[in-house]
Amino acid sequence: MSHAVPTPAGTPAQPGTGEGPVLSVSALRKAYNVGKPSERLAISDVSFDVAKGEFVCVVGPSGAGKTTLLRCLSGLLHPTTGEVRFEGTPLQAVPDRLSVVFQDYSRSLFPWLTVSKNVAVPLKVAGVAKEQREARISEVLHAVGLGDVGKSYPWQLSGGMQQRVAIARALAHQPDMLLMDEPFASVDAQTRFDLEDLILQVRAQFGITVVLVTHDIDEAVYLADRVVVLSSPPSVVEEIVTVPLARPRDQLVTRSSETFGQLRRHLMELVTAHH
Amino acid sequence: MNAVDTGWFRTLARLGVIAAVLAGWQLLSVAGVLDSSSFPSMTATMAELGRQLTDSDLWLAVWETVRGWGLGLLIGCSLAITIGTLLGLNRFAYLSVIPVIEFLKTVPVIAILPLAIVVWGATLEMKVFLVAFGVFWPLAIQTIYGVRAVDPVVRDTAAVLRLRGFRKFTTVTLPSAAPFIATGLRVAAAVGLILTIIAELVGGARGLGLSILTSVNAGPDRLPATYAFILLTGVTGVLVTTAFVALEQRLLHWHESQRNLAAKAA
Repeated sequence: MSHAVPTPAGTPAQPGTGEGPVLSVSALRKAYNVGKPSERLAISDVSFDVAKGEFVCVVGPSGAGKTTLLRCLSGLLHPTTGEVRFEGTPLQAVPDRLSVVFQDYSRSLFPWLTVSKNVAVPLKVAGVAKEQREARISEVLHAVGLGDVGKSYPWQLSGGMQQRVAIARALAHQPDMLLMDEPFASVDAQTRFDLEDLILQVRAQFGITVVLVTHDIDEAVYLADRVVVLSSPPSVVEEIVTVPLARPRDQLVTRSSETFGQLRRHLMELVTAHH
Repeated sequence: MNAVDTGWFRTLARLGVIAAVLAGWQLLSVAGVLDSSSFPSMTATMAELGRQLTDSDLWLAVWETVRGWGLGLLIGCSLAITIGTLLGLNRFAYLSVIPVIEFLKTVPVIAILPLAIVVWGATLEMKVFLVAFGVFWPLAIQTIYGVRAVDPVVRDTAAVLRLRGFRKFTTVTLPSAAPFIATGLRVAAAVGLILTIIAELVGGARGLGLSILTSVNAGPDRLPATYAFILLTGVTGVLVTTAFVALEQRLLHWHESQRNLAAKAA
């Protein structure tokens, strides 16, 4: 384990203490096909806050509208009613200081651009000059544990490496918050552990706030300061579980601790309970 | 590496097939299966072809054909890609215009050939118009669909990367549409050459098509020349297609359909 840096949110900061929450979700409701016979309520009523530097995971049974929620949080989708505030401002579109990492890296990374050029896209949008751009690209590629792959095309790399490139691209323009939608669901178990530790390390290094949606309860407990548990659709917040596990976390030590087991069991009961 | 997979072996095999076809042709002529008054022997045709290749008239005809084809393709394809892109980017325009384009696409170009001849006569302009008109519709449709076929994950990614306007167009929209446009261009090139030959053959504009017509009208003695010209148009077609396939491989080396080819070539 190389990330011995204490995290800014070693103890979960509560909203209202000091500066306001980075992300604030209040009474969010999302229905599809409103006014048509096929109208379907995906999210009924979801509210929670994410403090600066915090790592929040969102879990729920399959079909619980996790991806819908994440799309609303990122500004890609407008909620039917309710409000999402990012750094105090209600979301209209995707804000500048927010980055999203998708599950499907093979489609999210542009296959027609090399790794370097993929990472350069948000820097060009932000208007960063060429020399600084190149320095920043090698910096973030290094931060995600990738060496000399800048000239390769994403599809020439392994799945784990591709998701690392996607994370590097998301970090390139120094966002305040990272939204991740099942980011490790398409890689094998060993790579998954590596990427989990990578994201913890990157989060500590850059002091970034992370909201990660996952269907994997173990992963949520391992990564999070707090876990938001959604019910089956139409979704409400079942419970927000605080994870008091020490940091830095370790795949072997943390996962075999008694607290981990208890949290895991509690969350499992919440997610599998029928309502 | 297996000998069958080597480039040398493949080239040899292809040359072998061509040689066999030519030998078969000659054999059928000598055996009298092919009537020499309508189908000259391979050797007579090749001898005529060899003679023609040293004749400046032939090269003038080739130049006329290539010029008409190239200009028509350039005009038709530029308009198709520009207009197709604009229509593809605007949902309202797309929905309004697509039925008209789908209808015009089905109009056989030959049907407007007489009209073009009346307007321009047997000229280069007539030929260029016919080619441009013929390649425009299918390529425009191909471009519209390509521009609209941006993958939903790519679209979301573009949104979260805050790509907008011209930068979004060049970074995401155009590369996404490129495979569609490339296929459209390859087809347009082949269709364009056919239309060029037709414009010459039927419309009487100068070029290889007219050479074929003239040699047929000159009587049975000139029959080997007719076949030589036909062979030459075939070779031109193969060269055109090969050039476009090579261009496609180069520009779309990143696309799934081309990745294995690139790996093989490396």
